[in-house]
Amino acid sequence: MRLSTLPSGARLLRMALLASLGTLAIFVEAAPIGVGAQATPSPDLLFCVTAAIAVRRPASAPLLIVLTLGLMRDLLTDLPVGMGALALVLGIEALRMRSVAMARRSLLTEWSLVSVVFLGILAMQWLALFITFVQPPYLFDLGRQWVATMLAYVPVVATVRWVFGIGWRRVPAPGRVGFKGEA
Amino acid sequence: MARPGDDRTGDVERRLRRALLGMATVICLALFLLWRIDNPRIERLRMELADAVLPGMSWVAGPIELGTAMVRDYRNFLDVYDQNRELRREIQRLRVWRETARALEEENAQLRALNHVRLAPRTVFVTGDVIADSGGPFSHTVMVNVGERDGVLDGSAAVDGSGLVGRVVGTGQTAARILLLTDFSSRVPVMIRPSGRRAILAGDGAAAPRLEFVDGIDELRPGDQVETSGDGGVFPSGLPVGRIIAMPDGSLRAALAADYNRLEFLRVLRYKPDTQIDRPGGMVVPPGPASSPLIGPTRPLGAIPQGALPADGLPSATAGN
Repeated sequence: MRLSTLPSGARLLRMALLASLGTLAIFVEAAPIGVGAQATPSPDLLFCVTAAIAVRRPASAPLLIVLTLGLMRDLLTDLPVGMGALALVLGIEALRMRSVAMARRSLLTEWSLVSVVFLGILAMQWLALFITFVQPPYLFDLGRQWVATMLAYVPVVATVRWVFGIGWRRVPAPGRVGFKGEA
Repeated sequence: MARPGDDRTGDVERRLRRALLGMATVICLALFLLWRIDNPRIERLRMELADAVLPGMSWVAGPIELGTAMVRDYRNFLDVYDQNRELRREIQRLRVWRETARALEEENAQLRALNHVRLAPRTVFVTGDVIADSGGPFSHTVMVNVGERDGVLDGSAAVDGSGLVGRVVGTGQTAARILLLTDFSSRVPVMIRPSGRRAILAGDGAAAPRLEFVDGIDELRPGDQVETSGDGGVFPSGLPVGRIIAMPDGSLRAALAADYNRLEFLRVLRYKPDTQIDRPGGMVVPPGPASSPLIGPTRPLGAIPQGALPADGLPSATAGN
Protein backbone atom coordinates (compact mmCIF):
# COMPACT_ATOMS: atom_id res chain seq x y z
CA MET A 1 0.00 0.00 0.00
CA ARG A 2 1.40 3.38 -0.93
CA LEU A 3 2.18 6.05 1.62
CA SER A 4 -0.48 8.29 0.10
CA THR A 5 -3.15 5.80 1.13
CA LEU A 6 -2.47 6.36 4.83
CA PRO A 7 -5.00 8.67 6.50
CA SER A 8 -4.00 12.28 6.60
CA GLY A 9 -4.06 14.36 9.78
CA ALA A 10 -7.35 16.04 8.94
CA ARG A 11 -8.95 12.68 8.17
CA LEU A 12 -7.73 11.24 11.45
CA LEU A 13 -9.27 14.20 13.23
CA ARG A 14 -12.57 13.59 11.46
CA MET A 15 -12.43 9.90 12.43
CA ALA A 16 -11.85 10.87 16.08
CA LEU A 17 -14.75 13.28 15.79
CA LEU A 18 -17.00 10.53 14.40
CA ALA A 19 -16.03 8.21 17.28
CA SER A 20 -16.66 10.94 19.89
CA LEU A 21 -19.92 12.20 18.39
CA GLY A 22 -21.11 8.61 17.88
CA THR A 23 -20.44 7.72 21.53
CA LEU A 24 -22.21 10.89 22.65
CA ALA A 25 -25.16 10.02 20.39
CA ILE A 26 -25.40 6.57 22.00
CA PHE A 27 -25.36 8.07 25.50
CA VAL A 28 -28.06 10.60 24.53
CA GLU A 29 -30.17 7.82 22.98
CA ALA A 30 -29.79 5.77 26.15
CA ALA A 31 -30.69 8.67 28.47
CA PRO A 32 -33.90 7.91 30.37
CA ILE A 33 -36.68 9.97 28.78
CA GLY A 34 -39.32 7.26 29.10
CA VAL A 35 -40.13 3.91 27.59
CA GLY A 36 -43.24 2.37 26.15
CA ALA A 37 -46.00 3.35 23.80
CA GLN A 38 -46.77 6.68 25.49
CA ALA A 39 -43.19 7.91 25.66
CA THR A 40 -41.66 10.16 23.02
CA PRO A 41 -39.73 7.92 20.60
CA SER A 42 -36.03 8.60 20.74
CA PRO A 43 -34.41 9.28 17.35
CA ASP A 44 -31.58 7.12 16.07
CA LEU A 45 -28.93 9.78 16.58
CA LEU A 46 -26.04 7.39 15.90
CA PHE A 47 -27.37 6.78 12.39
CA CYS A 48 -27.86 10.53 11.84
CA VAL A 49 -24.29 11.38 12.88
CA THR A 50 -22.69 8.52 10.95
CA ALA A 51 -24.77 9.13 7.81
CA ALA A 52 -24.11 12.89 7.83
CA ILE A 53 -20.33 12.32 8.00
CA ALA A 54 -20.20 9.27 5.69
CA VAL A 55 -22.09 11.03 2.88
CA ARG A 56 -19.81 14.07 3.02
CA ARG A 57 -16.49 12.39 3.77
CA PRO A 58 -16.74 8.64 3.04
CA ALA A 59 -13.11 7.90 3.91
CA SER A 60 -13.54 9.54 7.33
CA ALA A 61 -16.18 6.99 8.33
CA PRO A 62 -14.29 3.68 8.14
CA LEU A 63 -16.18 0.45 8.51
CA LEU A 64 -14.40 -0.56 11.73
CA ILE A 65 -15.46 2.60 13.60
CA VAL A 66 -19.05 2.27 12.35
CA LEU A 67 -19.13 -1.41 13.36
CA THR A 68 -17.70 -0.71 16.82
CA LEU A 69 -20.19 2.09 17.45
CA GLY A 70 -23.05 -0.10 16.21
CA LEU A 71 -22.13 -2.99 18.49
CA MET A 72 -21.69 -0.65 21.44
CA ARG A 73 -25.15 0.80 20.82
CA ASP A 74 -26.71 -2.67 20.46
CA LEU A 75 -25.29 -3.71 23.82
CA LEU A 76 -26.12 -0.52 25.71
CA THR A 77 -29.62 0.16 24.40
CA ASP A 78 -30.74 -3.46 24.16
CA LEU A 79 -31.23 -3.75 20.41
CA PRO A 80 -30.95 -7.22 18.82
CA VAL A 81 -27.20 -7.62 19.36
CA GLY A 82 -25.32 -7.82 16.07
CA MET A 83 -28.31 -7.16 13.85
CA GLY A 84 -28.53 -3.45 14.73
CA ALA A 85 -24.80 -3.07 13.99
CA LEU A 86 -25.00 -5.04 10.74
CA ALA A 87 -27.97 -2.99 9.52
CA LEU A 88 -26.09 0.22 10.36
CA VAL A 89 -22.91 -0.92 8.58
CA LEU A 90 -24.81 -1.97 5.44
CA GLY A 91 -26.84 1.26 5.45
CA ILE A 92 -23.73 3.39 5.74
CA GLU A 93 -22.03 1.38 2.96
CA ALA A 94 -25.04 2.05 0.72
CA LEU A 95 -24.77 5.79 1.44
CA ARG A 96 -21.00 5.72 0.89
CA MET A 97 -21.48 4.25 -2.58
CA ARG A 98 -23.76 7.13 -3.54
CA SER A 99 -21.56 9.77 -2.00
CA VAL A 100 -20.05 11.04 -5.27
CA ALA A 101 -23.46 11.32 -6.92
CA MET A 102 -24.81 13.15 -3.88
CA ALA A 103 -22.10 15.82 -3.71
CA ARG A 104 -23.47 19.34 -3.94
CA ARG A 105 -27.06 18.18 -4.35
CA SER A 106 -29.76 19.85 -2.27
CA LEU A 107 -30.38 18.91 1.35
CA LEU A 108 -33.82 17.65 0.33
CA THR A 109 -32.29 15.09 -2.06
CA GLU A 110 -29.84 13.97 0.62
CA TRP A 111 -32.64 13.77 3.19
CA SER A 112 -34.76 11.63 0.85
CA LEU A 113 -31.91 9.18 0.22
CA VAL A 114 -31.06 8.95 3.92
CA SER A 115 -34.70 8.40 4.85
CA VAL A 116 -34.99 5.50 2.37
CA VAL A 117 -31.79 3.94 3.74
CA PHE A 118 -33.04 4.28 7.32
CA LEU A 119 -36.31 2.65 6.33
CA GLY A 120 -34.23 -0.23 4.97
CA ILE A 121 -32.30 -0.47 8.25
CA LEU A 122 -35.53 -0.71 10.28
CA ALA A 123 -37.03 -3.21 7.85
CA MET A 124 -33.93 -5.41 8.01
CA GLN A 125 -34.05 -5.59 11.82
CA TRP A 126 -37.79 -6.24 11.80
CA LEU A 127 -37.40 -9.05 9.29
CA ALA A 128 -34.45 -10.61 11.16
CA LEU A 129 -36.59 -10.79 14.32
CA PHE A 130 -39.61 -12.11 12.44
CA ILE A 131 -37.61 -14.84 10.70
CA THR A 132 -35.97 -15.99 13.93
CA PHE A 133 -39.36 -16.25 15.71
CA VAL A 134 -38.82 -13.28 18.01
CA GLN A 135 -41.83 -11.02 18.49
CA PRO A 136 -40.94 -7.98 16.32
CA PRO A 137 -41.98 -4.47 17.38
CA TYR A 138 -45.20 -2.91 16.11
CA LEU A 139 -44.86 -1.22 12.74
CA PHE A 140 -46.55 1.86 14.19
CA ASP A 141 -43.74 2.21 16.76
CA LEU A 142 -41.12 1.76 14.05
CA GLY A 143 -42.88 4.46 12.03
CA ARG A 144 -42.72 6.85 14.99
CA GLN A 145 -39.01 6.22 15.33
CA TRP A 146 -38.49 6.77 11.61
CA VAL A 147 -40.27 10.13 11.79
CA ALA A 148 -38.31 11.18 14.91
CA THR A 149 -35.00 10.21 13.27
CA MET A 150 -35.72 12.03 10.05
CA LEU A 151 -36.73 15.14 11.99
CA ALA A 152 -33.46 14.92 13.94
CA TYR A 153 -31.35 14.49 10.79
CA VAL A 154 -31.54 18.13 9.70
CA PRO A 155 -30.21 19.62 12.99
CA VAL A 156 -27.50 16.92 13.08
CA VAL A 157 -26.39 17.87 9.54
CA ALA A 158 -26.37 21.55 10.53
CA THR A 159 -24.20 20.74 13.57
CA VAL A 160 -21.79 18.58 11.57
CA ARG A 161 -21.53 21.22 8.81
CA TRP A 162 -21.49 24.50 10.72
CA VAL A 163 -20.13 23.57 14.16
CA PHE A 164 -17.54 20.97 13.15
CA GLY A 165 -16.93 22.23 9.61
CA ILE A 166 -17.41 18.91 7.78
CA GLY A 167 -18.74 19.97 4.40
CA TRP A 168 -18.86 18.36 0.96
CA ARG A 169 -15.44 17.47 -0.38
CA ARG A 170 -14.04 19.37 -3.36
CA VAL A 171 -15.26 18.05 -6.71
CA PRO A 172 -12.17 16.72 -8.56
CA ALA A 173 -11.22 17.92 -12.00
CA PRO A 174 -12.79 16.03 -14.94
CA GLY A 175 -11.04 12.73 -15.59
CA ARG A 176 -9.35 12.65 -12.21
CA VAL A 177 -10.63 11.51 -8.83
CA GLY A 178 -9.02 11.66 -5.42
CA PHE A 179 -8.34 8.68 -3.17
CA LYS A 180 -11.81 7.25 -2.68
CA GLY A 181 -13.05 10.63 -3.72
CA GLU A 182 -11.51 12.28 -0.65
CA ALA A 183 -9.87 15.69 -0.96
CA MET B 1 -3.98 10.74 -6.82
CA ALA B 2 -5.14 7.65 -8.62
CA ARG B 3 -6.69 7.22 -12.00
CA PRO B 4 -10.00 5.42 -12.22
CA GLY B 5 -10.29 2.12 -14.03
CA ASP B 6 -6.91 0.44 -14.16
CA ASP B 7 -5.58 1.67 -10.81
CA ARG B 8 -4.16 -1.26 -8.82
CA THR B 9 -4.23 0.53 -5.47
CA GLY B 10 -7.92 1.28 -5.89
CA ASP B 11 -8.52 -2.38 -6.73
CA VAL B 12 -6.68 -3.56 -3.61
CA GLU B 13 -8.60 -1.03 -1.58
CA ARG B 14 -11.92 -2.30 -2.94
CA ARG B 15 -11.01 -5.92 -2.23
CA LEU B 16 -9.89 -5.06 1.27
CA ARG B 17 -13.12 -3.21 1.90
CA ARG B 18 -15.17 -6.12 0.60
CA ALA B 19 -13.24 -8.56 2.82
CA LEU B 20 -13.78 -6.31 5.84
CA LEU B 21 -17.47 -6.06 5.08
CA GLY B 22 -17.69 -9.85 4.83
CA MET B 23 -15.91 -10.28 8.17
CA ALA B 24 -18.14 -7.69 9.82
CA THR B 25 -21.22 -9.52 8.49
CA VAL B 26 -20.01 -12.86 9.86
CA ILE B 27 -19.17 -11.35 13.29
CA CYS B 28 -22.55 -9.60 13.51
CA LEU B 29 -24.49 -12.71 12.47
CA ALA B 30 -22.59 -14.81 15.02
CA LEU B 31 -23.38 -12.29 17.76
CA PHE B 32 -27.03 -12.20 16.68
CA LEU B 33 -27.18 -15.98 16.88
CA LEU B 34 -25.69 -15.93 20.39
CA TRP B 35 -28.19 -13.24 21.40
CA ARG B 36 -31.07 -15.26 19.94
CA ILE B 37 -30.22 -18.39 21.92
CA ASP B 38 -29.91 -16.31 25.11
CA ASN B 39 -26.26 -17.10 25.58
CA PRO B 40 -25.13 -15.74 28.97
CA ARG B 41 -21.91 -14.41 27.42
CA ILE B 42 -23.88 -11.69 25.62
CA GLU B 43 -25.45 -10.53 28.88
CA ARG B 44 -22.04 -10.59 30.58
CA LEU B 45 -20.54 -8.57 27.73
CA ARG B 46 -23.41 -6.10 27.95
CA MET B 47 -23.02 -5.58 31.68
CA GLU B 48 -19.22 -5.32 31.52
CA LEU B 49 -19.58 -2.60 28.89
CA ALA B 50 -22.22 -0.90 31.02
CA ASP B 51 -19.88 -0.98 34.04
CA ALA B 52 -17.11 0.55 31.93
CA VAL B 53 -19.14 3.44 30.48
CA LEU B 54 -21.42 4.05 33.46
CA PRO B 55 -19.74 7.33 34.55
CA GLY B 56 -20.01 8.76 31.02
CA MET B 57 -23.64 7.71 30.72
CA SER B 58 -24.48 9.30 34.07
CA TRP B 59 -22.85 12.58 32.99
CA VAL B 60 -24.93 12.72 29.83
CA ALA B 61 -28.13 11.39 31.41
CA GLY B 62 -28.08 13.97 34.23
CA PRO B 63 -28.75 17.13 32.20
CA ILE B 64 -31.16 15.34 29.84
CA GLU B 65 -33.12 13.97 32.76
CA LEU B 66 -33.20 17.45 34.30
CA GLY B 67 -34.46 18.98 31.05
CA THR B 68 -37.15 16.33 30.67
CA ALA B 69 -38.27 16.86 34.26
CA MET B 70 -38.42 20.63 33.71
CA VAL B 71 -40.61 20.27 30.64
CA ARG B 72 -42.85 17.83 32.48
CA ASP B 73 -43.08 19.98 35.58
CA TYR B 74 -43.82 23.10 33.56
CA ARG B 75 -47.12 21.52 32.57
CA ASN B 76 -48.05 21.31 36.23
CA PHE B 77 -46.82 24.80 37.01
CA LEU B 78 -50.13 26.58 36.56
CA ASP B 79 -52.11 24.34 38.86
CA VAL B 80 -49.44 24.19 41.55
CA TYR B 81 -51.65 26.11 43.99
CA ASP B 82 -54.47 23.57 43.71
CA GLN B 83 -52.00 20.72 43.99
CA ASN B 84 -50.56 22.21 47.16
CA ARG B 85 -53.97 22.52 48.75
CA GLU B 86 -54.84 18.97 47.78
CA LEU B 87 -51.57 17.65 49.18
CA ARG B 88 -52.14 19.41 52.52
CA ARG B 89 -55.55 17.81 52.79
CA GLU B 90 -54.05 14.44 51.99
CA ILE B 91 -51.36 14.89 54.65
CA GLN B 92 -54.09 15.54 57.23
CA ARG B 93 -55.90 12.38 56.21
CA LEU B 94 -52.70 10.32 56.24
CA ARG B 95 -51.75 11.54 59.73
CA VAL B 96 -54.95 10.03 61.05
CA TRP B 97 -54.20 6.82 59.19
CA ARG B 98 -50.66 6.73 60.56
CA GLU B 99 -51.89 6.67 64.14
CA THR B 100 -54.38 3.95 63.30
CA ALA B 101 -51.70 1.91 61.54
CA ARG B 102 -49.35 2.17 64.50
CA ALA B 103 -52.01 0.93 66.88
CA LEU B 104 -52.85 -1.95 64.53
CA GLU B 105 -49.18 -2.89 64.08
CA GLU B 106 -48.71 -3.04 67.85
CA GLU B 107 -51.78 -5.20 68.27
CA ASN B 108 -50.67 -7.41 65.40
CA ALA B 109 -47.24 -7.92 66.95
CA GLN B 110 -48.80 -8.92 70.27
CA LEU B 111 -51.11 -11.42 68.60
CA ARG B 112 -48.27 -12.91 66.59
CA ALA B 113 -46.19 -13.30 69.72
CA LEU B 114 -49.10 -15.06 71.45
CA ASN B 115 -49.58 -17.46 68.53
CA HIS B 116 -45.86 -18.12 67.86
CA VAL B 117 -46.29 -17.10 64.22
CA ARG B 118 -43.15 -17.65 62.15
CA LEU B 119 -42.79 -14.87 59.63
CA ALA B 120 -41.12 -15.15 56.25
CA PRO B 121 -37.69 -13.51 56.16
CA ARG B 122 -38.03 -9.78 55.80
CA THR B 123 -37.52 -8.50 52.29
CA VAL B 124 -34.88 -5.81 52.11
CA PHE B 125 -34.27 -3.56 49.14
CA VAL B 126 -31.68 -1.34 47.54
CA THR B 127 -32.67 1.82 45.70
CA GLY B 128 -31.07 2.82 42.41
CA ASP B 129 -31.27 5.73 40.02
CA VAL B 130 -32.45 4.99 36.47
CA ILE B 131 -29.54 5.99 34.23
CA ALA B 132 -30.56 4.58 30.86
CA ASP B 133 -33.49 3.14 28.99
CA SER B 134 -33.80 1.26 25.74
CA GLY B 135 -35.75 4.13 24.18
CA GLY B 136 -36.48 2.41 20.88
CA PRO B 137 -39.38 0.16 19.92
CA PHE B 138 -37.36 -3.09 19.98
CA SER B 139 -37.26 -3.65 23.74
CA HIS B 140 -38.48 -2.18 26.99
CA THR B 141 -35.68 -2.18 29.54
CA VAL B 142 -34.03 0.29 31.90
CA MET B 143 -30.65 0.32 33.58
CA VAL B 144 -30.11 1.30 37.22
CA ASN B 145 -26.88 2.28 38.91
CA VAL B 146 -26.89 -0.50 41.51
CA GLY B 147 -25.36 -3.88 40.86
CA GLU B 148 -23.72 -6.92 42.41
CA ARG B 149 -21.65 -4.62 44.62
CA ASP B 150 -24.91 -3.51 46.27
CA GLY B 151 -26.28 -7.03 46.58
CA VAL B 152 -28.54 -7.02 43.51
CA LEU B 153 -29.27 -10.55 42.33
CA ASP B 154 -30.33 -11.79 38.92
CA GLY B 155 -34.10 -12.22 38.84
CA SER B 156 -34.85 -9.75 41.66
CA ALA B 157 -38.09 -7.79 41.47
CA ALA B 158 -37.90 -4.03 40.84
CA VAL B 159 -40.67 -1.75 42.13
CA ASP B 160 -41.35 1.96 42.17
CA GLY B 161 -43.48 3.69 44.80
CA SER B 162 -46.71 2.26 43.39
CA GLY B 163 -46.10 -1.24 42.13
CA LEU B 164 -44.04 -3.81 40.29
CA VAL B 165 -41.96 -2.47 37.40
CA GLY B 166 -40.04 -5.53 36.22
CA ARG B 167 -37.23 -7.88 37.09
CA VAL B 168 -33.46 -7.86 36.94
CA VAL B 169 -32.14 -9.74 33.90
CA GLY B 170 -28.49 -8.72 34.01
CA THR B 171 -26.13 -7.60 36.71
CA GLY B 172 -22.77 -5.89 36.50
CA GLN B 173 -20.64 -4.68 39.37
CA THR B 174 -22.21 -1.23 39.42
CA ALA B 175 -25.26 -1.54 37.16
CA ALA B 176 -28.23 -3.79 36.62
CA ARG B 177 -30.59 -4.18 33.67
CA ILE B 178 -34.30 -4.44 34.37
CA LEU B 179 -36.76 -6.01 31.95
CA LEU B 180 -40.03 -4.09 32.20
CA LEU B 181 -43.42 -5.80 32.42
CA THR B 182 -44.34 -4.34 29.02
CA ASP B 183 -41.44 -6.00 27.17
CA PHE B 184 -42.27 -8.68 24.61
CA SER B 185 -40.44 -11.35 26.60
CA SER B 186 -41.78 -10.55 30.08
CA ARG B 187 -43.95 -13.22 31.76
CA VAL B 188 -44.95 -12.92 35.43
CA PRO B 189 -47.28 -15.23 37.40
CA VAL B 190 -49.97 -13.16 39.09
CA MET B 191 -52.98 -13.59 41.37
CA ILE B 192 -56.20 -11.60 41.05
CA ARG B 193 -57.98 -10.30 44.12
CA PRO B 194 -60.55 -10.79 45.51
CA SER B 195 -61.27 -14.01 43.58
CA GLY B 196 -57.79 -15.48 44.17
CA ARG B 197 -57.61 -16.69 40.57
CA ARG B 198 -54.21 -17.04 38.90
CA ALA B 199 -52.93 -15.91 35.53
CA ILE B 200 -49.78 -15.02 33.64
CA LEU B 201 -49.07 -11.38 32.90
CA ALA B 202 -47.54 -11.30 29.43
CA GLY B 203 -45.90 -8.17 28.00
CA ASP B 204 -46.56 -7.39 24.34
CA GLY B 205 -45.19 -3.90 23.88
CA ALA B 206 -48.46 -2.19 24.84
CA ALA B 207 -48.80 0.00 27.94
CA ALA B 208 -51.17 -2.52 29.55
CA PRO B 209 -49.86 -6.13 29.39
CA ARG B 210 -52.14 -9.07 28.54
CA LEU B 211 -53.48 -11.55 31.10
CA GLU B 212 -53.01 -15.05 29.72
CA PHE B 213 -53.98 -18.52 30.95
CA VAL B 214 -56.59 -17.00 33.24
CA ASP B 215 -58.05 -19.50 35.63
CA GLY B 216 -61.83 -18.90 36.08
CA ILE B 217 -62.31 -15.91 33.79
CA ASP B 218 -65.99 -15.56 34.69
CA GLU B 219 -65.16 -14.57 38.25
CA LEU B 220 -63.02 -11.62 37.23
CA ARG B 221 -64.30 -8.06 36.98
CA PRO B 222 -62.69 -4.91 35.58
CA GLY B 223 -61.03 -3.10 38.47
CA ASP B 224 -59.98 -6.27 40.31
CA GLN B 225 -56.54 -5.95 41.81
CA VAL B 226 -53.63 -7.84 40.24
CA GLU B 227 -50.66 -8.79 42.39
CA THR B 228 -47.75 -11.19 42.18
CA SER B 229 -48.61 -14.74 43.18
CA GLY B 230 -45.10 -15.77 44.21
CA ASP B 231 -45.33 -18.93 42.08
CA GLY B 232 -41.92 -19.99 40.88
CA GLY B 233 -40.19 -18.46 43.87
CA VAL B 234 -38.70 -15.54 41.92
CA PHE B 235 -40.89 -12.73 43.25
CA PRO B 236 -42.37 -12.39 46.72
CA SER B 237 -46.14 -12.78 46.70
CA GLY B 238 -48.46 -9.81 47.15
CA LEU B 239 -46.55 -7.13 45.24
CA PRO B 240 -49.13 -4.82 43.64
CA VAL B 241 -49.07 -4.96 39.84
CA GLY B 242 -52.20 -3.10 38.70
CA ARG B 243 -55.89 -3.43 37.99
CA ILE B 244 -57.82 -5.43 35.41
CA ILE B 245 -59.24 -3.70 32.36
CA ALA B 246 -61.51 -5.49 29.89
CA MET B 247 -60.84 -4.96 26.18
CA PRO B 248 -63.62 -4.70 23.58
CA ASP B 249 -62.58 -8.08 22.12
CA GLY B 250 -63.20 -9.77 25.48
CA SER B 251 -59.56 -10.21 26.47
CA LEU B 252 -58.23 -8.96 29.77
CA ARG B 253 -55.30 -6.67 30.38
CA ALA B 254 -53.74 -5.09 33.45
CA ALA B 255 -53.42 -1.32 33.78
CA LEU B 256 -50.10 -1.10 35.60
CA ALA B 257 -49.84 0.62 38.96
CA ALA B 258 -46.24 1.70 38.34
CA ASP B 259 -45.81 5.03 36.59
CA TYR B 260 -43.69 4.18 33.55
CA ASN B 261 -43.48 7.82 32.50
CA ARG B 262 -41.65 8.77 35.67
CA LEU B 263 -39.17 6.01 36.30
CA GLU B 264 -36.50 7.93 38.20
CA PHE B 265 -35.71 5.73 41.15
CA LEU B 266 -36.37 2.02 41.49
CA ARG B 267 -36.19 -0.31 44.46
CA VAL B 268 -34.64 -3.67 43.74
CA LEU B 269 -35.87 -6.23 46.26
CA ARG B 270 -33.40 -8.67 47.76
CA TYR B 271 -35.78 -11.52 48.33
CA LYS B 272 -34.95 -15.12 49.06
CA PRO B 273 -37.88 -17.49 49.41
CA ASP B 274 -38.15 -19.77 52.44
CA THR B 275 -36.53 -23.16 52.02
CA GLN B 276 -39.32 -25.55 51.09
CA ILE B 277 -38.97 -29.28 51.64
CA ASP B 278 -41.46 -30.79 49.23
CA ARG B 279 -39.71 -34.04 48.34
CA PRO B 280 -37.42 -36.45 50.15
CA GLY B 281 -34.53 -36.09 47.68
CA GLY B 282 -32.74 -33.48 49.72
CA MET B 283 -32.26 -35.63 52.85
CA VAL B 284 -28.64 -35.81 53.96
CA VAL B 285 -27.67 -39.30 54.90
CA PRO B 286 -24.25 -40.50 56.13
CA PRO B 287 -22.51 -42.75 53.57
CA GLY B 288 -23.64 -46.37 53.88
CA PRO B 289 -21.99 -49.61 52.70
CA ALA B 290 -20.76 -49.67 49.12
CA SER B 291 -23.46 -52.18 48.12
CA SER B 292 -26.31 -49.85 49.03
CA PRO B 293 -25.22 -46.34 48.15
CA LEU B 294 -28.69 -45.06 47.20
CA ILE B 295 -31.60 -44.31 49.45
CA GLY B 296 -34.67 -43.02 47.70
CA PRO B 297 -38.37 -43.40 47.34
CA THR B 298 -37.99 -46.67 45.38
CA ARG B 299 -35.96 -48.25 48.16
CA PRO B 300 -37.85 -49.71 51.15
CA LEU B 301 -36.96 -48.13 54.45
CA GLY B 302 -36.16 -51.54 55.93
CA ALA B 303 -33.18 -51.75 53.59
CA ILE B 304 -31.49 -48.82 55.29
CA PRO B 305 -28.74 -50.19 57.52
CA GLN B 306 -29.31 -49.90 61.25
CA GLY B 307 -27.72 -46.80 62.65
CA ALA B 308 -27.39 -45.08 59.28
CA LEU B 309 -30.03 -42.59 60.26
CA PRO B 310 -30.02 -40.69 63.52
CA ALA B 311 -32.91 -41.71 65.81
CA ASP B 312 -34.48 -38.28 65.79
CA GLY B 313 -33.98 -37.84 62.05
CA LEU B 314 -36.57 -40.45 61.02
CA PRO B 315 -39.65 -39.08 59.33
CA SER B 316 -42.67 -39.26 61.60
CA ALA B 317 -44.69 -41.21 59.01
CA THR B 318 -42.24 -44.10 59.06
CA ALA B 319 -41.27 -44.00 62.72
CA GLY B 320 -43.79 -46.69 63.60
CA ASN B 321 -42.38 -49.27 61.12
